Amino acid sequence: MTATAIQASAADNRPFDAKDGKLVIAHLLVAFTALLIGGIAGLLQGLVRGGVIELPSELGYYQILTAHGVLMALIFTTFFIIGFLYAGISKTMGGKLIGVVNRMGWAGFVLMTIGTILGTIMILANEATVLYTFYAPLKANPFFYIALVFVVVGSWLAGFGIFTQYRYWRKTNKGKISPLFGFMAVSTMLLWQIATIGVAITVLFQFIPWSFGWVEKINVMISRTLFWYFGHPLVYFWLMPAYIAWYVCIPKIIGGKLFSDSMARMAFVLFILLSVPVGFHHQLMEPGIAPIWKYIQVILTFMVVVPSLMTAFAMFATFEQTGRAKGARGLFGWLKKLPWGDVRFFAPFAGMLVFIPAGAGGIINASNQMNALVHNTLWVTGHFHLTVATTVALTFFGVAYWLIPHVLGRQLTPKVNKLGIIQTIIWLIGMLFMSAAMHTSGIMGAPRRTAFTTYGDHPDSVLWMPYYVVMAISGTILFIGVILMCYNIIALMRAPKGDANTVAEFPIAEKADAAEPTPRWLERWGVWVGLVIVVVLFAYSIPFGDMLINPAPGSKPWVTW
Amino acid sequence: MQTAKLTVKSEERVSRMSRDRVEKDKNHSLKGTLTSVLLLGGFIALSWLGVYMVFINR
Amino acid sequence: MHIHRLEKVWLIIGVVMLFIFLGVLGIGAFAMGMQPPTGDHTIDPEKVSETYPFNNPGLEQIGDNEYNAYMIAYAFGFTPAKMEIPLGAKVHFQVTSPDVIHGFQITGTTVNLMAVPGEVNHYTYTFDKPGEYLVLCNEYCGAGHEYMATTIIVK
Repeated sequence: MTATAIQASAADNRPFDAKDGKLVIAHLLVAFTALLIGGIAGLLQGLVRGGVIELPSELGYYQILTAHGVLMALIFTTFFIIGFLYAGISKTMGGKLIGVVNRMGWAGFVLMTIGTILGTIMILANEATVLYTFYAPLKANPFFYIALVFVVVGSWLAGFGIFTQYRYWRKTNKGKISPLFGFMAVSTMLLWQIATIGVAITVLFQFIPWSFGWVEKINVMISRTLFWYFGHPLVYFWLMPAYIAWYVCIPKIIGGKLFSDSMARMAFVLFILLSVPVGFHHQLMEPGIAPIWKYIQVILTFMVVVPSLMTAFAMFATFEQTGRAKGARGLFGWLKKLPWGDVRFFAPFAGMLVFIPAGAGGIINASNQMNALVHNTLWVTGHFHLTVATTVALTFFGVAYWLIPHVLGRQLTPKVNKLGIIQTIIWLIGMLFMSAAMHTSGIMGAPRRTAFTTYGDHPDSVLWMPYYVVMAISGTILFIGVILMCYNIIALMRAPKGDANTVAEFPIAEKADAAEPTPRWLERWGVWVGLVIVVVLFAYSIPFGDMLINPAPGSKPWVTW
Repeated sequence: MQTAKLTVKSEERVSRMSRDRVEKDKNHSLKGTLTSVLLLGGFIALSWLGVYMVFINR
Repeated sequence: MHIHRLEKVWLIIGVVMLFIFLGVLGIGAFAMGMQPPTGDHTIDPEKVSETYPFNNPGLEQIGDNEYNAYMIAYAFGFTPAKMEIPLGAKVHFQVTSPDVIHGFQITGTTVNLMAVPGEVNHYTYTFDKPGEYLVLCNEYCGAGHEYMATTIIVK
C-alpha cells in the first residue's frame, strides 16, 4: 500500500477493505445476537407484567430483566457502536486500518465477547440478579463483575485503536482538518474513556474485593456516585454515534450537503465537556448529597441540552436546504423532497422525530424536585425506550442497511429496503404505544423494575393494569420487529454481490459551504480534556470528597433473590 | 502594512454582508427550519409546564 | 466560526427557556422549601432498630398537627405498617434501611425517596387530602420486591 493510495478521499467508491470488513461484521453480528436474546427477555417481561403469562419456576422476572438491560443497553449498543466507528475510520481515515489498529480492534472484540459470554452465563445461572445497574449492597457472583471488567477493558482497547488510526491520519495529512467522521469517532471514544473511569474504580476497587469476601463492607453512596458518574455519559456514548450517522451520512443519503461542519464539531466538543459532570440528576432522591450540589449538576445537565438543540437545527436546516435546492418552496415544501421510501433515511428520521418527546422527557426528569414525580416509575422506562430503544436503535438499524452490504461488497436490494421500511413502522408503532403507556402509568405512580402484582388490589394499582396490558401487546409487536430485523440482517449478509455501480454506498456528506473554513482550535483535544477535568472537579470534588472524608457506615453483602 | 490590514478587514466585512444577503435569499431561506425548531421548543415548554402543574398539585 | 443568524435566534430562545425552568426550580427549592429529599445523617445499618430514632418507629408529634415519622424500609416491608395520619398534618419523614436500598414512594404525592443503608433520608410533606395512600418500594430489592408495600391512612 503506497502512501498516496492510503490518502484516498472520503467520498470515493473504492471497495471496503476486506480485512477491516471482517472486524466490522463480527461486531455487528454480536450486537444483533444480543438484540435477539434481549428481545426474548423483553417479550417475557411485558407478558408477565400484563398478567398474560407466568414464568416457569426456572426463570425469575428479575433475572430476565437483568438480561434484558445488560444485553440491550450494554452489549447491543457497545458492539454496534464500535463496529460502526471502525468502519467509518477505516473508510475516511486512510481507506484501511493500519496493522496495529486492526489488531487492537480484534483484541478489544475478543475481550468484550468473553466478558459478554461470562456475564450472560452468570445472569442465566441466577448468580447476578442485580439488574444492569448492579446497585450495592446487592451482591452478585464475583465473576459477574469480572465479566464487566472484560467488556470495559475490551472497549478501551477498541478506543485506543481509534485514537491510533486518527494520529496516523493526522501525521500523514499534515495541515488538513480531520475528516468529520474521524473527529466525531475520536470525540465519542474520548468521552467513553473519561466516563468509564468511574465504573472501573467502583468495580475494581469496591465490588470485586467485596464480592470475593476480601473486604467486609462497601460504602453504598460512594459506589452509586461512581456508577452514575459513568451512567450519564453512557447515554451520550450511545447518542453520539447516532448523531454521527445524522451529521455525516444522512445529508448524502438525501442528496444534500452537510449544513455546518464547524457547528457539528462544536456540538461534539460540548458533549465531551458537559456529559460527565451531571451524574447527580440520577441521584436526586438520594440522601448524602447536599441540595446545592444536586442543583448545580441540574444546571450543568440543562447546559448539555444545548448541543442537542444545535443538532435539531442542523438536521432541519439540512432537510430544508436540500429541499429548496431541489426546487421546494413554501415553509414546509422541503418535506416532500425527502426520500421517504429509502430505509437508510426513513429509519434514522423516525429516530430523530421520536427524539422530540424523548428529549422533552429527559429535561423533565432532570428537573430537580420535579424528579419526585417520575423517579423509579415506569415514566423513566418510557423515556429510555424512546431515547436509546427508538432514536438510537432505529438510527443504528438504518445504518445497518447500507453498512453491512457496503462492507461485504453487496447490494441493498429493493426487497430488503421494503422490509426495512416495514420493520421501522412496526418498531415505531410498538415503541410509541408502549412508551405512551409507560409514561402515563408512570406519572400515575406505577413502579419500574417490578414483577406482576396488584398491591392487594389497591385502587391506584388497579388503574395501572390497562396500561400494563397495552405494554404486553406492544411488547409483542416489538418482538415481531426484533425477529424481522434479525431476518433483515441475515438477508443483508446474503445479498447479491454488487459491482462499482450497484454496491451499497458508504454515504459521506460534503460540506455545504466549501469555502467556510473549519476552525482548527476545535481539534485541540488537550484543551478539551483539561476543561473536562476542571468541570468534573468543580461538580464533584466537594460532594464526593464529603463522602470520602465523612463516610457513612458500610454495608455487608446481601443476596436477596 | 496599515493598508494591508484595512483591506483584509473590509474584505471580511464584504464577505459577511454577501453571506447574510445569500442567507436571506428565498432559495437559502431557513424559515422552515426556524419554525420547526420553535415548534420543538414549544413542545418542550408545554410538556415541562404540564408536569410542573402536576407536581405543584400533589 | 460562522453561525447562521436563525440558528443564533433559536439557541438564544432555547437557552432562555432552559434558564427560566432553572429559575422556577431554584426558587421553588431554595426559597419555597420544595427541595428533593436529602440527608446529612448517617447510621449503622446493622444497628438500625437499636439506634435513635428508629428504636421507636412511627409518628412522633412535635407540634400542632406536625409530626416526625421514623420509618424503616426492609426486605420486604415497611415499619411501621399501616400508619394513620391526621388530615392536614405536616410530616417530616426520616427513612433508612437495615439491608439493601429500597424506594419509599407514596403514590399520589411527591413523597418518593431512596432508603439507603448507612444513611437516613429526610423529606417533608403535608397531607391535605384524605384517603388511603399506597406506599410501595420502587427500587429493586430482591425476590419479594413486588410485594413490598403498605398503606398510610389520612383522615
